[in-house]
Amino acid sequence: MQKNEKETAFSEIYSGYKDRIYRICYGYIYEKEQVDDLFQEIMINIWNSLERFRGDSTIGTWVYKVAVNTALLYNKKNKFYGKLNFSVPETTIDVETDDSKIREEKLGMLAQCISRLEKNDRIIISLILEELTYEQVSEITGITAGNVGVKVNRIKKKLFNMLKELNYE
Amino acid sequence: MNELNELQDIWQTGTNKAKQFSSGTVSESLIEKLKTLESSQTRINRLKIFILIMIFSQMVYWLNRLNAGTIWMYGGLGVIFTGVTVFMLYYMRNQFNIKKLNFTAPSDVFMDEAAHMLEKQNSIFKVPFLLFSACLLIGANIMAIGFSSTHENKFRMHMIYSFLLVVSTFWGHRIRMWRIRKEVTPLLDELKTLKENLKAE
Repeated sequence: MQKNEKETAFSEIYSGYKDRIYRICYGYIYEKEQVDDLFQEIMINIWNSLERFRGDSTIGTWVYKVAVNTALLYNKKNKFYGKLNFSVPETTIDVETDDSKIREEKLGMLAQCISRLEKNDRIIISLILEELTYEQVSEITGITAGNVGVKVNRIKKKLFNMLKELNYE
Repeated sequence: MNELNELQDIWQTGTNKAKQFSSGTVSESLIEKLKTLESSQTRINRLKIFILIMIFSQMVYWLNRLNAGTIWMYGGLGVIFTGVTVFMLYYMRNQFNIKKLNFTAPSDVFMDEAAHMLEKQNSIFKVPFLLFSACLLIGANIMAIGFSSTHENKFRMHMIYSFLLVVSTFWGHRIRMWRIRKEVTPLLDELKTLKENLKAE
């Protein structure tokens, strides 16, 4: 892959997947500072892995594989690089309305419940919440689609029970 | 709308931090930072090799300049240089393997590779480190033969060199092993548990 191609491919991935990757980090870790840290680590690994993309899977599945594997190996105490300072605007885009407030509350509850799941379950439900199919989750994690289905049903049950406890409506 | 669809909707459209990323594209400065980071490890390794060569060439230079260079001196220096070079090459090869870790593999394969890589990284502080320490010890003692003329002084030199090297390598090894136990072993255990849980139905 040529230098320019790599930069263009990275720009496209960043533009198209940054929100989704960020949500995967949010689902996996929940703590704000660490979410930023993990997001940064995923971006570095995407950059370093770009030469490996052969088009065997869709770019989306490929990006999620890097994101999930980076999350699994994420260890905040074991860093070998400095901060890159990915700039994140501090202002929110949405105008605060009653509806957006309710959605934000619901999101907070959902994130809190996901954070109480086991690590593997957090990864799987985050991918499902991104509307990935069982086959795609299977390709990313390496477990069978049938097993993904079994796990998703169990995780959903746990999640809805936890949400119920928090009076989520 | 079923319950999962509602959760998906909340998750993807909620006013969260992720939403704040929605405008703008990646800046050129970010790509520049990534490129710098990519080459930084290579630069650090080159710097290490440069420093090592400088230290040894300066030692040879001053031994010659002060007419202190005997066959024992050069012999000892040679043993130390060989030990340090082999250890550094092994160490850098391990670092290169970290870069080769395939983050694009399915997670179950990735976890196996990551665990294998971490174990290999730790292995440098077993036999290779002992051989490295032995080279330092032998090299320093060979150099000590050429330092002094009297037997008593020579014996004292051997004792001082050996003691200092044994103590420093012992503590260096202990600190490393402590760090491995604190940082790497828990990560290895976690990878093992994650893989077992992932495979379990």
